[in-house]
Amino acid sequence: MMNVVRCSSENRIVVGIGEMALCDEENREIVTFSLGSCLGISIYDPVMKVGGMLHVLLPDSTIQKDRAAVNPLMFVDTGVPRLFRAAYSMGAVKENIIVKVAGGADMRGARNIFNIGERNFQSLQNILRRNNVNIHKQEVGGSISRTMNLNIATGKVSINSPGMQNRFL
Amino acid sequence: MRETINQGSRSNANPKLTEQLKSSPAILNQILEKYRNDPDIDEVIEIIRLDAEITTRILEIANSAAFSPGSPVTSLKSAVSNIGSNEIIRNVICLAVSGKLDRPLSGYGMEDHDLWRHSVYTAYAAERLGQICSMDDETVQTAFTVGLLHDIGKVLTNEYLKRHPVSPLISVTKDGADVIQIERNNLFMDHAQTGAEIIRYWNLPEIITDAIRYHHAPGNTQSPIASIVHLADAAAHISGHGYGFSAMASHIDQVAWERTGFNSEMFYLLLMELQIMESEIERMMGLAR
Repeated sequence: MMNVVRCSSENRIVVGIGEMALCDEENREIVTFSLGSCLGISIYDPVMKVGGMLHVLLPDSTIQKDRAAVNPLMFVDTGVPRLFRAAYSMGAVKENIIVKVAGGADMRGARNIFNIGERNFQSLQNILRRNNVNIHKQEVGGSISRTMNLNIATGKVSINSPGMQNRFL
Repeated sequence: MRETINQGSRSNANPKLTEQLKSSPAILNQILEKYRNDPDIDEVIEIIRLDAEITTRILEIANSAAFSPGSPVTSLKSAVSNIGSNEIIRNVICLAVSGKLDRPLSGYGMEDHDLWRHSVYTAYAAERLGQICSMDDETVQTAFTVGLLHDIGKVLTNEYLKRHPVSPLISVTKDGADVIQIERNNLFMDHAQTGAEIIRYWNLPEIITDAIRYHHAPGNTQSPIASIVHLADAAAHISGHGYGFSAMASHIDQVAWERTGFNSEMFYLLLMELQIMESEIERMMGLAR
């Protein structure tokens, strides 16, 4: 069972790990909290005013095919296509879509083993490149936690982290 | 060394809080002692029964929607058969220490419940990691307890940091400095040492104090518990349950990897399992409320 939310009754739709949300109602916003090595991927069609957000944990579903079958939204390679397809089904058009990305932080040391954030972002770049989709803005890497917010009316994406000023992507 | 949290450390900015932290939750010692010598659940029940508040909470939990009992659970014995002895022990341990850990740490940029949530996540991750590494039951249970208590030292080091904001700790978000090094440079001791000093007052087994002291330097002890909790702490940070300015500004020590035999596939599995266990972990976190 996938954790997909389409416009709920709340003004603010919260996306957890391994979940995505899609919305086409302008008084709403989609938010995902506390991205560590996870990636928050926001897509938005400014013409159709359709937006979506996905919160993925790991880069590659082939690591755990059984789990991927249960929840493909946990992985970059199986989650991202579902995010785009869900947006298309709500009227979004590929050529219009603006992609913004946050998260992908890493701890230090033992880099080849634990650099999950970096691997997540590489996996995302690969899948988007293969499908001729550009990332418009990103704030990835470093060692900070990030919360990502997408405003459906404006398409603006804001990022905040403890002790830092809010910024727009 | 004990004198450090009373006299020597600059983190000692709140004597009342220090005294609160030093007082041991009696039931924790009794439960751990019993578990170590003879994990007979009937005797564990006898220990819990002596604590009216915890008994009441355990019965509330056993009757909650999470466990949906067929008929009302009115005794600890039926609570055990309903939700299992391991679950009871985990709940008692969490109830015993939540009052000390469920507090905001503004010096670290951690808001209400952040430390408690991180502690519970780390405890679950440590327990699961110990199981994946085929550690014995006692080691797994100790890993859970150490995971829960590993950052208790931050409650005291925070007292200094909130009065004297340390700019490097704020800028840890930008320049990538290591939080432990920043603490040592500014407070003359770090939260791991401070935590071990607090726990020494509780008279818990040395293996617990040792693992808390070395959870950021697992190579300095022979105990596998420090390595397990080191990796469990990393799992919590990586999956977004780190919080604060220093959310991910710590090193992962290669030693922990070697000591536990953990590999990247196991680590991925652990991260996924934690995500799947999220509702259980959130329920446990809610105990503090």
